[in-house]
Amino acid sequence: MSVSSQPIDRYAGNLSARTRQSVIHSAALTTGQRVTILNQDYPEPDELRKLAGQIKQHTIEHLDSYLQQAEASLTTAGATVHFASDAQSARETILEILRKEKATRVVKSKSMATEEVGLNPFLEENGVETVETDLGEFIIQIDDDHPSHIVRPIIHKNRSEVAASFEREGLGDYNEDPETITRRARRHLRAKYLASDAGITGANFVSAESGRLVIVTNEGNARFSMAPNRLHIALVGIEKIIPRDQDLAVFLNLLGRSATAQQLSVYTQFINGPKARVQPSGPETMHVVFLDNGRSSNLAGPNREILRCIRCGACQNVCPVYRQASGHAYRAVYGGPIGAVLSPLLAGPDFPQYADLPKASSLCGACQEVCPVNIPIPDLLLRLRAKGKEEAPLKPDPLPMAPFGKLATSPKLWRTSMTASKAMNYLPLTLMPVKPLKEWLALRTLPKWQGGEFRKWMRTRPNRKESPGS
Amino acid sequence: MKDDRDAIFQSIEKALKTTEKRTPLPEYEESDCVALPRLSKASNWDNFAHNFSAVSGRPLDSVASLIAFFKTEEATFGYCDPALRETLGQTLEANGLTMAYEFDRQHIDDYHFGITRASAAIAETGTVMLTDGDTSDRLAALAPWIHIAVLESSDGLLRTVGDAIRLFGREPN
Repeated sequence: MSVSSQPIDRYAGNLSARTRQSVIHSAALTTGQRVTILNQDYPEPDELRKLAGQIKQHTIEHLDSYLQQAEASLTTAGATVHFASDAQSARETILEILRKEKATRVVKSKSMATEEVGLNPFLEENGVETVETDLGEFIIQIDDDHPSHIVRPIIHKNRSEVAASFEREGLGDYNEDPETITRRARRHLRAKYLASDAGITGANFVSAESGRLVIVTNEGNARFSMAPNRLHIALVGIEKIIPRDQDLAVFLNLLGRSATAQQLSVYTQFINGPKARVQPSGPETMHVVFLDNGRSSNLAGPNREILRCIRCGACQNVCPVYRQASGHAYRAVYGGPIGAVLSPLLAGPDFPQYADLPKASSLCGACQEVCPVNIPIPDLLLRLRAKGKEEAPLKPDPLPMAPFGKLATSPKLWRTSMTASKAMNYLPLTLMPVKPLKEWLALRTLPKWQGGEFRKWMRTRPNRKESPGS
Repeated sequence: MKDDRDAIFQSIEKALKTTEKRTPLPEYEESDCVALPRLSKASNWDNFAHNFSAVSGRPLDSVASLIAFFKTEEATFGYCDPALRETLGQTLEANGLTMAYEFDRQHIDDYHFGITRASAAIAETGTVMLTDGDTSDRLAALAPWIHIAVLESSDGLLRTVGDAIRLFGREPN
């Protein structure tokens, strides 16, 4: 018998066992490997997480000056800097740059910011061929699907599904071997890279000091999205800034280990403007679009710690709810604990649509324990639950929660029902034609109803203190 | 867009006005984030070789070992940075390999390997560092299935990620 009608529960309830198993296996494996590599490499990994958290907290609390500094540094380095208040502005800014540069074929490396603003469908609608080059994102694109994890977009798929997709797209005969799949994708994508006019990326970090963008991948696809063409556009959330180049060592060491249990991601690009004059391959023009899209409005609020997030996905991997529900259950770009906080906050006036997400947590605290920037996610979830209660009160089901709600909010009714329900002790419950009740009673024996006994004891116990509510 | 820029900065400034106590930038030592167990061997080369192997790289310390590697991979034709022609390319040619000193992007699938120069190597992480200035062609380092990065001097062997970041200087990429 289900007493909840929250969308996330319904989605999780309908998830196939196969998908659930894919998510649980991959998430649990990385969680274990993350602990191992951090403890192998550092005597006090928690201290490093706390340090990174302080650096990011400092940065967001001084974002006015650091964002200005980053803008100036990038401009000095030869990049053109743009600002986009919202998703629409980001999409239009990027399209305008592409049109000015007469670019109609784009290759893209993985970027949650572009996912957040819905860039791909917009560019396609406007006649720009847009090809995802990260293997996982490429599979998402050919399947017309959405990422279900920040770092592993296809965590919800298994290799037989991927093999079937490749066969359907004419990329080769059915073959489940991961190396074969990867080689086929690479061959297909090489032609796309070489024919492209522009590369679009996100950025993991931006140093305010130098304007250096740091882009990490495990497949080299970000560099390959830049090397063959003449134009590079990076869409970057304004919270991605860190103060100095030297701070990059702290964050790079934590990001790889937290995200994929690697000491460093395989390819780490430091991009500080268009290519050097002596370099024959690479973009001659670079544009950076800083995206707000609800971030600055959360800077003053009680949940601003969420802007520390470096999108590693460790909280998703460790979360018992995410493992059972998978990322799509969160109905937004960001799933898991980080998504349960970020998605409602970035939704602005659409907050009520996502007000159930902060409740999708047991508040076990594991998400904060693994967070490389030590975001107090459980505290933020509680604050958002309170906000949800104010702004999006849950409508209870007609049965049984609605009558229960009435009883539980009226002391008089509650007292009366506690006593009156003693009648249940004399009713033939097993004979009542209520299917869920019959099923429940077939497995369990209902204890004798003792409603009202506690109140009676409270009233009559020795040394009782009088109180207005008694 | 200019309007967007103004709106974003106004929104940030308004938010931060109400933030009474702001977190200071913490002081820390660079050594706090160095993975010391990865630097436990005698030299930077030994540490680099160990950590590079751990991420499926092949540390090679002689031209002979490079030739042997090409043989096992059945690689016979590749691109080589012209700056390495005399020091490496000609030796490889003398050993039966065919070298191209110009990278032709129309035929990227023909190259079995690409040889370019590395600007540095990081022992802590087993990372090879390439820069625009030292890499003769970014595509040649990316497109062939095998990439050989040549570190010409042991001076380029760095200990930590922090050491590498300090080396960037004015190099754009």
